[in-house]
Amino acid sequence: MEERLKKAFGNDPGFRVPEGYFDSFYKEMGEKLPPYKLAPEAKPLSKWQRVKPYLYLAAMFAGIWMMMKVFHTASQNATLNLDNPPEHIAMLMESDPDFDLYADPEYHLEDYDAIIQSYDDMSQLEKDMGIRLEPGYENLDVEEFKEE
Amino acid sequence: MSYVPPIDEKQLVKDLQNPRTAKAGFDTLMRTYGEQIYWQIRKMVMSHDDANDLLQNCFLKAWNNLHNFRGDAKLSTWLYKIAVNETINFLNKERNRNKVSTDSDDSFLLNTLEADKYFNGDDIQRKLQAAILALPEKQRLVFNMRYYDEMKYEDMSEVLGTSVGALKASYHHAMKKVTQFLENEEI
Repeated sequence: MEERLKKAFGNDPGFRVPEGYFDSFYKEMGEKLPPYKLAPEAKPLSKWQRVKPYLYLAAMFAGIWMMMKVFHTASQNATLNLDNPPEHIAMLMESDPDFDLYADPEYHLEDYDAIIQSYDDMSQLEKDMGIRLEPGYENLDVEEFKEE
Repeated sequence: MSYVPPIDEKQLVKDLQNPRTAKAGFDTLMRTYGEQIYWQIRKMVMSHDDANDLLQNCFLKAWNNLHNFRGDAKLSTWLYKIAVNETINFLNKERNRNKVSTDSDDSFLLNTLEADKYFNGDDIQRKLQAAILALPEKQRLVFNMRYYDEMKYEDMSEVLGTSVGALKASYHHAMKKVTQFLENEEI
């Protein structure tokens, strides 16, 4: 295809330039050139700029260490997943030495309100949670609180 | 393609980066590559006056950025890149001026060609230019570099930042379109 085209049309586009154009262009251009631009000198780095990469690196390692710590702790506390939450929640509660503290109504009034509003009978709560409440709460009249 | 005298490119780069020898080095650079850069620009913009302005801009940019040239690429490639960018910017402005929204029809440049007193091509050359002007910008660049200048695909690849395979395909498509255009013209 190229050969055919070149045979028929040649490869002279038919453009011309004025007589002596290139020589005068180079001469004029040489005279027109502005002063030579030197490469801008690199500015010395500030203390912060020098320390920054090391700080970022340290922060990254600290982050990784904390993530590993969290995963390690989570993996020791059995798996808590959506397939069997009640059993595991109960198991975690039992294994948590502070659970009694959470279950103490005086410890957290909001939790206490939530619990008494969702249970009519404290023995049902004990059963669901797999816990044993302090004797004082066993016969607590929940309805009395609800009316308030 | 115009004759390029052999130069010691490494020495020339050294001269260009030394403020004392830069001007003399730049004169050598212009005399070595100026003509071929000019023709490349001229085939894209058609008019001598526009090509002259763009060649000046191109060398001015090269001069002002000599300190950025690290010698990783060939001087000719670097100059071609500047020239191609300048030409594309110019053509975009011209398209805006002529209210042409696409880069695949620069036929308005045919009027520029007709008006240019430094074009003395015959009907055949005019027809070929009309066919080339109907190509998209990139294909036109590739076609001119290959058909008229017989530039190596590897060199074109460095200038245009496109793979050799894509350039070969582009040239093939361009050649097909140009041939078809000329066949239709004859009917």
